[in-house]
Amino acid sequence: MQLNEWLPWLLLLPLAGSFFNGVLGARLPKGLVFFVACMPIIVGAGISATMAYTIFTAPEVDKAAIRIVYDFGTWISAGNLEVSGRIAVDQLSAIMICVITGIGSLIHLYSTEYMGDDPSVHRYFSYLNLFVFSMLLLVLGDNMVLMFVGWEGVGLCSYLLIGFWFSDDANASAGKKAFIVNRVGDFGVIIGTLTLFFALGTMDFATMPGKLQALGAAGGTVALIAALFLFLGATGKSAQIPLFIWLPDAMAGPTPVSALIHAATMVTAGIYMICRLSWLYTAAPAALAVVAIVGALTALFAATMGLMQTDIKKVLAYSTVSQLGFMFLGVGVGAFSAGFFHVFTHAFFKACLFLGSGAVIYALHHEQDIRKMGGLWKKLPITTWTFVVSTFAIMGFPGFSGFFSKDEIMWQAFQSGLDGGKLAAFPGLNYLLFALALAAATLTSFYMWRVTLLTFFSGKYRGDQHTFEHAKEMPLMSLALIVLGLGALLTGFLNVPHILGGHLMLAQLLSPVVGALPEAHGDHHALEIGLMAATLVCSLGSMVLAIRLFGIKQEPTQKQMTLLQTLPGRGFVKVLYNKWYVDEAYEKVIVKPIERTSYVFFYKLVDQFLIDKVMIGIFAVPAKYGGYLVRWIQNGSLQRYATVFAFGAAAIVVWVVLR
Amino acid sequence: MDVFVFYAAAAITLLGASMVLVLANPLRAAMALILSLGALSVIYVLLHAQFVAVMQLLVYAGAIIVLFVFVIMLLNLEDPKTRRSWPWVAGVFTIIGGLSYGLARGLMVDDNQFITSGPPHVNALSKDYGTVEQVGREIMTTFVLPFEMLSVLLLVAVVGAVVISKKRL
Amino acid sequence: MNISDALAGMPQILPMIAVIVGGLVTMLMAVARSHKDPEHGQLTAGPFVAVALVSLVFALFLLTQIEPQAKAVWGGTLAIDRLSLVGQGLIVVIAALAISMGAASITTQGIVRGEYFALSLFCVSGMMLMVAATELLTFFVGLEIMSLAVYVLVGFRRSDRRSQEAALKYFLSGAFASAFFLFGAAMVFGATGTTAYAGISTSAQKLLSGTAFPMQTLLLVGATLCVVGFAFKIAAVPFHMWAPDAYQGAPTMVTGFMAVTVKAAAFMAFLRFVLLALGDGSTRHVPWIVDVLSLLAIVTMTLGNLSAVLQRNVKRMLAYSSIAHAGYLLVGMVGALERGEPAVQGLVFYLFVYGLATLGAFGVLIALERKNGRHDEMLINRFAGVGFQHPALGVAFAVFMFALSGIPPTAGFTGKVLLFGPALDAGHIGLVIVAVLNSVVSVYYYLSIVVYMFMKNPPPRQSTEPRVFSPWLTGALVVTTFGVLIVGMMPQRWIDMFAKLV
Repeated sequence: MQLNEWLPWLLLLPLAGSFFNGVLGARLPKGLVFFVACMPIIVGAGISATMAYTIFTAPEVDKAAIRIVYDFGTWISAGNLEVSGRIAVDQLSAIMICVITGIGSLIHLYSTEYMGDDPSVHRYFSYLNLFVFSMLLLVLGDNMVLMFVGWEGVGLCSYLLIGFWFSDDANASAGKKAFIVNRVGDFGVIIGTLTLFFALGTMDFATMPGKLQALGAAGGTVALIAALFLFLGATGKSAQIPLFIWLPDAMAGPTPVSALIHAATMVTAGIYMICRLSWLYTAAPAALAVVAIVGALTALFAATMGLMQTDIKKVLAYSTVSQLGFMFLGVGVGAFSAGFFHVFTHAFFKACLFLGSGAVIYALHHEQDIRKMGGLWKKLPITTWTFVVSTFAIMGFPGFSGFFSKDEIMWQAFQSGLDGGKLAAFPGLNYLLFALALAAATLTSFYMWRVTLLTFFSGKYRGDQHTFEHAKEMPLMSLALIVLGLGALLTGFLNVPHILGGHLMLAQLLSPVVGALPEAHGDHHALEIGLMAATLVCSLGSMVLAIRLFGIKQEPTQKQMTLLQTLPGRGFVKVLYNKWYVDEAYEKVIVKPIERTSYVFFYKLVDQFLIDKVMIGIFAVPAKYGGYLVRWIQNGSLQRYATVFAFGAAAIVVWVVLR
Repeated sequence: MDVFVFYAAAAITLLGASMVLVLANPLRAAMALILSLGALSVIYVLLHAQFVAVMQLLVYAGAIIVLFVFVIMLLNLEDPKTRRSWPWVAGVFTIIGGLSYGLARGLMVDDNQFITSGPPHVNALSKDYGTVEQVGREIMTTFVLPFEMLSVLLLVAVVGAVVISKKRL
Repeated sequence: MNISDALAGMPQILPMIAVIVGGLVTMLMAVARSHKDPEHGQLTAGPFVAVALVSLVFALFLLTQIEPQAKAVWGGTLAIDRLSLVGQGLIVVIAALAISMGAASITTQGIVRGEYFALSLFCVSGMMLMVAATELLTFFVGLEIMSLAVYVLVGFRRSDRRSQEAALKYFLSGAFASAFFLFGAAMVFGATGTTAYAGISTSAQKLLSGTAFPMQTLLLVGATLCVVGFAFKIAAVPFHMWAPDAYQGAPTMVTGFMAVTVKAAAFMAFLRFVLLALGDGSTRHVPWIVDVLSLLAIVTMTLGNLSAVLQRNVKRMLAYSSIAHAGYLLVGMVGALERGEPAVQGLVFYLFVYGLATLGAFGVLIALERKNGRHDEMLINRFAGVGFQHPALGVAFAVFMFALSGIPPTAGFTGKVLLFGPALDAGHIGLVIVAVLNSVVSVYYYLSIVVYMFMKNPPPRQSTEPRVFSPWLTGALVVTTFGVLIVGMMPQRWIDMFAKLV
């Protein structure tokens, strides 16, 4: 069997699993449901690893061109629209499928314990397998249409899983919010795709760059329009300004879902798409600048919002938005492999953090409020230490994975404005981007340590003692945490920068797809080291501040306790009042208006006015009144039926005879 | 002669049919129906359809009307209290009459042409056209398939009648 | 012509005979079974479905064995061209799916008699005769076999007065329509001297090109009345009024059965009549037929869709949707009259797609019915939250609704393109615009059910009666769902199946 013949199985197995559990799951023993759900992903992980190994160990001469391709045949052929059913693995998608199936299998295993008691667990696994299928399709599709099908598929699964516990109204509406916001983004993707199709006449990733080049000067305009619309789609799927609002709400779904979909894989689809279309964005520097600015702003903005959350998952959600901002910043400054490297490392440490929070939530019987936690390290050692490792990773502590990936992005952001950089055309922009990123990184360190300390340390447990006594860890959940924790610790070494004696291995491996990392002219080693040190100092500083504030072993002081208990209530404690007043004001000035705007714009204007009034006015209202007329005729009396029949027949006969 | 018989039979057919609609007493309406159906069989004879004419008398004027009368007597129907609404009946007659007249005008170049000359294939009919023998031969050769399929139709009718009317299911 | 000539066509009616034998066997089984447990009348559907499926599958196999030929057999009453064979095959396949679906509700809908299966199979044999008939009398016999069986099936739920009422209404208006058709057929016979389509065609060409004025009018009026008879069976406005009542009153499985098979059979017989009796396949002898059909199409689509928007009862909504689809199909028929071959292909392909999607939708309704839920009103709010409680059913239903409204990648989209394309080619731009606008309106009510399923919470108190579960139903739903998707995503080979029908 050729290697490429395994490729369809990668897709078909999860689909079959989803189908099997969806249709029959309710009547099967849980063990079988678990087995059917997990096996396709684990087997898929094996296939993915084999493929990645084959691709990355290919002989040097083949390295640029190697792809593993499977063709399902022509999918649609109508006029000049020819869409192939081809799926392909190249360097970029090889890494993605490894992440999807690898972390996917861990999360499936984790879910068997986390969701084991849920009565409709088969439905959960059915959606989850369907998600893996869609995500793989998104990544493997060799043309815009297949990618878009996957794109829609993951959106649908995300919606279904957020609203999984739909009996709670809030969950259902969170699912709906995610769906509607993503619809706006998808609109952008459709427009962008159509722009490319009409301009280039093809949707195949392989032939599109050449067609764009052939357009010459006009290609720049096409690229700009398409790139911006596609980026709108990316802001929806990857939760960036202005469409990020759905992701924090999406935490209503089961925690493993948050880990897999809303941290490790689906939300990175936007970055994946931009990497996949790197040639397009490279051809439109203005679009790149927009991506970078939006990314940097989101990184900082979300980080500030993460500061004040008391729900452990909400903190992680804002953190995800912020980290996604970093990734967009990376791709936005033309360093596609740097952005993608952060996708890779983030997948590990953020999945680990989410699963850790899930383990805590599970152990504490669905307690998510960090004010009622603390001191859990005694009860949940594995969870604690993997969480701490991941926190070190996300803050960028030297040696941990986040350090390498985040610093690469920040350095690339800075050097993009230097002589010969990608954004040299926008003078001064690089300083702004770096400053925003630095601020975001500083805040990241603080809020992550805040949540870590309040959850696992800060003296004793602050909630119900009985719950604390019964808190325990589960074997499979711990296994997933350990593997992901190791990933958070080690994956950074795949891409060690030159100044630290590495070779940027991942960047080199990816260069056939996304191009080489941009390098500014001249020797900037001292500058790079300096900036790295500055970032490190800021992160360590806020880590120390967090430890001083929340403590490791010592009880928080009375004032701190009061702060914790009343947060974010109104000021009972004068001393700390002002600090939180700033945050609350911040929420009032920025978050609420944004929600308000989104309410007015998306709900009132788009939904209520454009859709409910205008669209329905155009089509449905005449339809409705026309319907009343018809209903008068259809009154249920057989005589009237016969009369209408006879008159109808007579009318036709008369018409035929007289004409 | 033919023309006279045709008009007489046609008039009786229409009269009988109108009476079915107009008469309030169901038993009288059934009797009027016999009149109409009987006159119709005369027209069949004029059209060289002797077999159909006989069947018309046997099945419709005979069996079916007897069935109607039985049902009417079983149900013990009395004269309905309410009269028929005459404007309604008159309207229906006007429309049907108007349409028929229009159709007839459309079909006939002059008043007699249709009956006397007729379509070419009617004039060229063989002597035994419409006899029992000829119809029987057609049924057993050209139309043997629909004829045999009628047995399925009857079977469906019987099964259906049982399903619809059997007391205990 | 002697008897042995006629009987030479025996092999060509073997598929029909297979179905009739299946019907006879199930009928005898029903008799044997009803004596076993006369008190409760509980019936296991399995053996009946198995027999029915065996006979249908065997009939399908036999159909594939027949070599198509242009010349009619059985004394010129039965066509065995590709239109006839593919049409019969289509009906057999759809009927097999419909009968499988019915297995689930046989015990829940108060239908405890195995005669259901016998009548369904007889009905199928009638449809096969209709589709293959190339002569007015033969067609009429087929039509009546089908109609009588369907009347009884509609009234099968004897404990429900609405079912009874629907059956009576359908029966009476059906008899009314049959009378129109017969009157028309008699006039056509009077004008042409034959009831065979081939003879009518030659005669009509002569009559309409010559100056035989009275006969010309007689033919036109006769043909028009025949068209009215067909229009009744396909539920075209204004001859549609039986449909909502019958669809709503009939047991859901019967509604599904009749919504697809009756419509498919009537449409294919109609197609043969207008193409081969009123024309000779490529040219049409009666020019007015295009105008009549266009007019019927516009009225049917518009009224069907407008009425569907108002409905709260999903079965009734689907009834109006099926009326609207008759309108779309009439657009395709206009195209077929103008363009011949490719349009016929599109029309039959759309019948296939419509059959799968509609049948699937009714299958989901069957699956949602509850035990002893004889009076389960299929109101739209009954669907609230169903997508969460039964995700597979919900997704399947959404797929069917997408297909019916013609949204890619379902087969409905491909079907509509192939259906409307030829009419557009032939210059009926206004007609196609009306059809497309109607499709847009239809999205509103199709999606409103999906919205209820996935965007509303289920009502707090729900009947605890268990739902019906039947492997037959599940299997049929799987086939229809995947059929709609696969045909939509890889349409080429399915379209090819319906090529060169005329």
